Amino acid sequence: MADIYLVCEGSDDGLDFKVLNLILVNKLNKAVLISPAGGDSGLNSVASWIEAKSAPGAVSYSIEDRNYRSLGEVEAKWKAESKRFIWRRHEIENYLLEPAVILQAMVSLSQVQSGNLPQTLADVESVMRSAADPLFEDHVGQLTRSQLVEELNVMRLQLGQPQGRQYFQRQEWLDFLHGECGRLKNSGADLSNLQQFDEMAITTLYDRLLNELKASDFLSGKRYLREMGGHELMTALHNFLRASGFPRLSQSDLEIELLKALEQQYMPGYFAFDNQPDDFVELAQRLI
Amino acid sequence: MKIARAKIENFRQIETLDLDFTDSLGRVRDVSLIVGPNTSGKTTILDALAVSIGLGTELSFGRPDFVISPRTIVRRGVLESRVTCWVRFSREEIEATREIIQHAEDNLTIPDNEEVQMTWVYPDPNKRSRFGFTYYDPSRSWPLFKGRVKVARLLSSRRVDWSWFQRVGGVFTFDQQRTGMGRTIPREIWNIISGAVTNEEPDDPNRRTADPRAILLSLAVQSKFEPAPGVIQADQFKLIKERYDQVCAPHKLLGVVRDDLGELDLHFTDGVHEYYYDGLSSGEKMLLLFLIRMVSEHVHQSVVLVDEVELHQHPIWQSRLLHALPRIGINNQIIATTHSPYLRDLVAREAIINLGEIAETGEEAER
Repeated sequence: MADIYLVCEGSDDGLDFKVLNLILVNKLNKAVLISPAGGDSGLNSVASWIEAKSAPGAVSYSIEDRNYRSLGEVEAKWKAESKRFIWRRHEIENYLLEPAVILQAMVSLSQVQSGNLPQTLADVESVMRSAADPLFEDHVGQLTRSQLVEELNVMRLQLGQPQGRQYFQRQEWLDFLHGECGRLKNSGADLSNLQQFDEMAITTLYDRLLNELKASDFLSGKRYLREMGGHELMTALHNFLRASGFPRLSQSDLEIELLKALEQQYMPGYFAFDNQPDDFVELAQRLI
Repeated sequence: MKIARAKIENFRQIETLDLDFTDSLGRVRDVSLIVGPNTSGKTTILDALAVSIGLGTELSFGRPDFVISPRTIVRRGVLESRVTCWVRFSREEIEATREIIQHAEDNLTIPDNEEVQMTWVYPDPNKRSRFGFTYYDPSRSWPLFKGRVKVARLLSSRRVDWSWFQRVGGVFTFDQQRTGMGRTIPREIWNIISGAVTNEEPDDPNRRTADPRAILLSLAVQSKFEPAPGVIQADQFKLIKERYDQVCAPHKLLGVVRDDLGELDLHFTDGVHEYYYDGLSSGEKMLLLFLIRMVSEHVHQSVVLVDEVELHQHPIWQSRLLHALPRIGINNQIIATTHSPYLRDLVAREAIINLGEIAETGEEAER
């Protein structure tokens, strides 16, 4: 049987590696080697390199954080017949921040010592809302930035590379560079006329996104736990616990506690939400 | 019982080493990994922990080739070795030990302390025992270490049943060959499986064997029968099969079958092809040796010391084995050595006891 690799973000002993091993390898019994890329970029290159250096028949997939990308872009990636996937949640921490998982971890912590810990799901949601509120406007800022970056990407504001051959001669290089620089000059002119980059338009975009999220179920329906920065929410939860009678609790021990709770709670379909499937189940089906 | 902390002094090549097996909240971790290059002292740590606590349990505790002698234990140039362990007992285990002492009609009192500091000194400064001397603090807490041996002794009297092993713990060491296994097979079961057992004397009056195939066959046959009313014992074959299937998926242990000659054998599948015990890979055999011993020796509430836990295992099986280990028995503490970077990355960074890199040992370290 050929080896199957899944390249994920993070360091060798990072949370992505641990969660994927727990759910994909142990809970869903998928025979896949999880290979952290060591950071948050170049996953596809790492996946290609692993495939190239492995025994014939080895297949290498990758899954990266959604961050502030739109759900449409993420779904398009899952629908494409490719070996590259994007989490439907912001990042791996968001899969540990299920209220029921947090509650179970709180129950376990409260057996160590009594503290002022949440005792019901409503308590947990209240704590997480308090953690999310100061981050909310930052989240909207990141979404706004993300949309502006998309505008820039459309304009292709980078100098390209000549394509099609291994090497090129003087005249070919000059023709290419003249063309590219001319294109960029025009793009620069287009950019200066781009209305979306006007101060008023940026403010309008920010406020529109802010109001849309406020009016939607983003906060009330717990979407924020899936779409806001999981790392920041986890840090806020950690700070809350340190202030609630557990001053010595390390962040890695909090992660281990949440992993144990997730292990007890998880069953296939656990992460399904609205019409979205459980990412781990879909991933297990796609890794062949 | 669980080891919270330990201090090893002048034990083989170790001069002084402090070990902490607790998390940031002071709880003992389910799994701690000892990593480091060859000759860095990983196995020595396991031996030191095993001998210091194990002697007090009066049960088998160490590697079969572990020899207690000044030459093999005491560091060169000093007169004695010393291992101090801070051992924790749950309230339930303390109560269970009190109950078993009552059943045994021993006149012993056990203090309420959930943590016991015990110090093993070798050789015995009083020159009374060839196995060294152990101090306990509080001094009357030593019977806490005897719960398991008392259960073993009382089993034949029927004052207790096998389920008592779920309540009191001991120390178990798994060496790199996963030896140390042994089981007495009931006469009736032996007669059924004896045709399938090789390298064993069929009319051995003790019917004690270390052959994993014979043990597994006997458990498989036993699992075919209902326990007598009032007898509480888990179906051990089922437990082993479940864990094997979990770690080795898509491989499965299908069960016991009879071949053309009427002999019994164990039947496996890799998801496509079927095969018998002789067709097992070394990784599968290692895992079965581990599972059989954990299950058939009722390892619960115990300190489980495993040398090179990843031996012969593919990284995916390593991951599953590490995941399964703390769940094979009830409330065990796993302390394992490993060379596997894959396993090292699976546990919390603080759960790793790092004895250094390859360049830090030998001549490089001395410079």
